Amino acid sequence: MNLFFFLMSILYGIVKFLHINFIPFTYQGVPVGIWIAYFIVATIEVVLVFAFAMLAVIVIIYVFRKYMADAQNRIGPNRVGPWGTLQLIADVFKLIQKQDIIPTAADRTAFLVAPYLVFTPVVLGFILIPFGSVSILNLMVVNFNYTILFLIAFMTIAPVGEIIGGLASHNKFSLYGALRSAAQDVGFEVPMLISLISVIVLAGSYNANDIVTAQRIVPFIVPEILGFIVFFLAMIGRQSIPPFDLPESGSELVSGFSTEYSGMRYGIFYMANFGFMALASFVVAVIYLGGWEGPIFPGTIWLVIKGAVFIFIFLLTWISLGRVRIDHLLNIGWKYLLPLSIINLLISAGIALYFGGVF
Amino acid sequence: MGGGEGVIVFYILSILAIAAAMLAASSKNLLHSTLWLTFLVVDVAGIFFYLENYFISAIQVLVYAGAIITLILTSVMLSRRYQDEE
Repeated sequence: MNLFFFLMSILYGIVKFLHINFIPFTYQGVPVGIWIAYFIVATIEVVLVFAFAMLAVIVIIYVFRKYMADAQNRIGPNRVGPWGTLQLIADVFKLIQKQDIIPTAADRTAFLVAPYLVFTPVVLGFILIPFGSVSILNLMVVNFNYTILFLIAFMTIAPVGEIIGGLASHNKFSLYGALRSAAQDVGFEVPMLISLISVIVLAGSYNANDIVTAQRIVPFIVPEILGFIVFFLAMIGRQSIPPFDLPESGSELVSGFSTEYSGMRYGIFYMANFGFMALASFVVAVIYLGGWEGPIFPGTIWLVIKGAVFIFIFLLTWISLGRVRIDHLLNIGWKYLLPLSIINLLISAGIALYFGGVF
Repeated sequence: MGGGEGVIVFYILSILAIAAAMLAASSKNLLHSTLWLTFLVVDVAGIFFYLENYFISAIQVLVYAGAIITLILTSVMLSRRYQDEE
């Protein structure tokens, strides 16, 4: 059963229970009550996805703090709530109370718009992830033929907000951060898209659901190990976490594009960063590890397990690796990842040509 | 596309696109013009999506909003006009 029909039937039950009669008017041959129910259900679905994204962000930030503290021989948050689990909620309240500072030299409109430009695509991306099914309930929110393309498209427009934020701050450090962010995004975008193309070639479809079902026997990480490495490195680069955190390097650029941001505006950047991490790990799990395919457990739990593995690897790179130099970073992007991804594309085209039926 | 009353979404998106394009062309501030251009590009993607041409819509977001706007922002960043406004 689809999530849409599930929610629709709950709504129908409520309507029947309250003895509400449908409005007799019709629009395009369908009763108006059905249209209203459709919009209510669509809104509930989006709210559910947003809640899932926020839950993922909260869990990741807690795990990150504890993990980093453990690696640095500290205790980490332990005062607010049991084991410090409510620390993030306390932090959000603190950030909301803070004075909202906008620098006088800043470009006011662009400064205000930039955090939302980063945050919105991340939440939109969560709508398109194929979450698989729990027993008979299918948790996929939307399903049409080009979902994986839209997912990647939303992931590519998120860094534009960072560049706009850095430009609007009118600060030399932010400007450097924005410039580095642009260079890094352009450098990693091309290899990322080419390795995505090889996945699409093997699966023969742009639909995320079909990409998952094509990996029922062999996950794409086996024939496309090169593409997996390229895509994973590009994902680390897109999130700008260490070792590729040049746009916001704390020690030299005083956190780059977000230098001038304070209070909840900084909080939105922070949450968008971790939301992007969750989105990136789910996307890698979907296109290379077979998403919700797996024995025994329901599909959604498999997807969450596979995503959590990648989140831990991202956090591990974050806390353990040093920063690379900007010229080394661009060399990695253009001189190593791009040829590797093209070789991978050729390999997967050959596989699709000669063993087309297997995948 | 349903025809009849269903076209209203198309008209709303088109009017927004035209307004955004005019603002992008007439804005004095280069950064604001780029912001309006971003809005225009995403809006045109919405028009393609409404016309059920999903592939072109995704490519519009991917190429224009993702790559071209980044390049335009880089050139805005490096332009003398923008730097002198401080």
